[in-house]
Amino acid sequence: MSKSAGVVALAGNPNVGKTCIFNALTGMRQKVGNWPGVTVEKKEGVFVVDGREVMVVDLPGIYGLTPYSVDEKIARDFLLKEKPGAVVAVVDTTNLERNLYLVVELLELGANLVLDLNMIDRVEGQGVKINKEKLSRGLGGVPIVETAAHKGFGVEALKKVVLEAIQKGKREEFKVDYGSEAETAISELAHLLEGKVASLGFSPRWTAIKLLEGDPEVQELVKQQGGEEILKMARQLAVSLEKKLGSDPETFFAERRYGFIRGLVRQAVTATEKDLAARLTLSDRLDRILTSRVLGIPIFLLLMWLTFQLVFKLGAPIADGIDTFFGWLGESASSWLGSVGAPEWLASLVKDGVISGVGSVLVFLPNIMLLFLALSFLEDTGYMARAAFVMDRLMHTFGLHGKSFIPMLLGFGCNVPAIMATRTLESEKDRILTILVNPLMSCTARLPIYVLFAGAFFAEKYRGTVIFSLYLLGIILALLVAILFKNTLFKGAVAPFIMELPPYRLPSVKSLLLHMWERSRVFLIKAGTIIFTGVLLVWLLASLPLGVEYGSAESLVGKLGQVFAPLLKPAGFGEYQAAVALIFGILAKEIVVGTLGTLYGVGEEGLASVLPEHFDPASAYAFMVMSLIYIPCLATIATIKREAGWKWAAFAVAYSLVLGWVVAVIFYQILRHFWA
Amino acid sequence: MFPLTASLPGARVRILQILGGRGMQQRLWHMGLRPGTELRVIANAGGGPVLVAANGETRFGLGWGMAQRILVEEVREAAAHE
Repeated sequence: MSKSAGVVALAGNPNVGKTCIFNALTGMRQKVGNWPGVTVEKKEGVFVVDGREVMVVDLPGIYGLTPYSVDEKIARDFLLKEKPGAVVAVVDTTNLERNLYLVVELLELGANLVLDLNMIDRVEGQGVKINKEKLSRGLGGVPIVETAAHKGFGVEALKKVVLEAIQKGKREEFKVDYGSEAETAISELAHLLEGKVASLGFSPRWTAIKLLEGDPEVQELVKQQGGEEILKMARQLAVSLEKKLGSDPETFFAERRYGFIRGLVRQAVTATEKDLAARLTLSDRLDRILTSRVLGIPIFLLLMWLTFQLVFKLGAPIADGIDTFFGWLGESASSWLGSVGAPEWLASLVKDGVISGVGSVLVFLPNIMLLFLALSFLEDTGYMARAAFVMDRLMHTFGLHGKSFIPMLLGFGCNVPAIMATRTLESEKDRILTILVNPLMSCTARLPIYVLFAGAFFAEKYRGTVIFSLYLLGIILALLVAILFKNTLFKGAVAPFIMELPPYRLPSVKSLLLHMWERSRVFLIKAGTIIFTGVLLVWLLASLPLGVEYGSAESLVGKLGQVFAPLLKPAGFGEYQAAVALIFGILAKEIVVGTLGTLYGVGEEGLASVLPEHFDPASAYAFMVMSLIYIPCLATIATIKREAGWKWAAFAVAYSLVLGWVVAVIFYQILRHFWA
Repeated sequence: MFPLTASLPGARVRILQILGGRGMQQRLWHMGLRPGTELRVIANAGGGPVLVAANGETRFGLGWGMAQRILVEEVREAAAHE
């Protein structure tokens, strides 16, 4: 075993290739968890260098250490409170000046910094030269590493430098010169802090600057330490500074930092900006077409439609193979159990419960992996952000924010990370509204239901379109619900939209596969845990009371279903099996299919042939509509509760149930006249 | 001086002033959009968001409301690099 050397955090602006560095450093040795208390993804991994193990924590992308959104607050809290052994500041070297702002703030905070000039290959291609020695000297001797993480260049060197930095420990304090007037105020305040609030753990100088800037969190910390006098003093100093400087201290300090950075860049970087114009034309042309007023939305819809075609055309044959395998497995297992004299209930548990239940869900793994692959592709190429841009105006029409769009797109994958992604929205009203409509975006867990029913009731050439229509229905309903809520619950203007668009990139196959795997893994784990348990529960309730015919109307599950079945009759699926499937589907939507498989005692292939006895095309469509809309799954409800509070979670459950029932009934009552 | 929303695609402009509260100013600052920054207008469909490139290749999508509060002046080619 290698000994642990310490923790390093990765910090940087959004879109600088931080995740790429993280993957290159840690390979597959990573785990995704949550930050304590909140549900933003926390990625951790380890790497080993010179026989020592270093733990890496990937922080959310931030522009500075002034927290505007939840993401930024988390990154800052981690740096302030956990005090990692070293911090790697990943910068996009093509945009050094802006990226250095965060670097300077990190240095002022006293972080033990390693500067990673990422995407160095692009800069070299542009004829830009960076004098690393001058840059390092200007930044107080910070070690500098050049990387091009997407090519794997410089990653080993980075590991070594990080280890050295951790072992060397703290560096001397880095100072930006703020000019005599501000410096006087800083040192006056720092002097006071030195005596009284030493236990804060930050340098007095940093604390003094933050107090002058009026940072609410640092003010609170000082107050807790009994520094009321100091706060009063800081306020007076800030007021008199503002008079002397002619601008408020926060802006003043930011400007001085920029001035410092500009000077440094001028010294250390020589640019022969030759082909800038030529280089930009391709991206410009792409942007003009993809975000154009006329073509933007049609292109987006076309891409979505192609995605679904790909997911189903390519996924179907693989899914068939898996299905055949589970069918065979179920038969062989039960005949083997019979031959060794196992009791009949055990054979039934294995075949009807476990294998047909879990199998009927796992069959959809290829579709789900392909969908995640397509979403990763759209995200990693940079198109997703353009889609948000294109949709901004449309979203405004419905009272949503342009940034609401990415969470909604991600909802096609899974609503849980999608709801977490709403944290980039600055306004609380916009955020809650986006969270509430998100479950209407049809996630992959609902896909098995569509694939099953579309396959059983519609001719092959219409299946893709039928499934696409459900996704479209989800979007339309989300927009209508948003406009309704915006005009009732969330009155007021939508916050202004500003978003950085990542450059177009052709993602590497490896990173795409990694991205896909990270997401598909969650599905597999779910299949092994929640879905497995849910299916067992259904099997048990379908077998009790003892001696009852499996899954019949007299079983417990049958009785439960019969209570709710009459309510569903107007929607065309008034049989108890459908009601039971929907009830257990709240645990996880995949269970709907698993439950039907268990209740009818057949696998997925069997299901397709059994279903026409219980549904007709109109009620099948209504059932899909119901599955799309009614009550979000448990994991989603829990996420809404954590993100927005239990009141909104309860509200989401209630409105979606009512909406689902109403829309399903409408569809059935209309469609049955045409498709009967 | 005119609002960013009034600029044409392909134009090079320089930010003169940002109208808005401290929070918004600071946010734009940190993203590298501040008085003096040069922008290339990539797309501006009118009524919708404006797409600009700043500081080399960084691209921003700005909502109509926000773009209207950014006042700019045209940069002539000769003066493009200070």
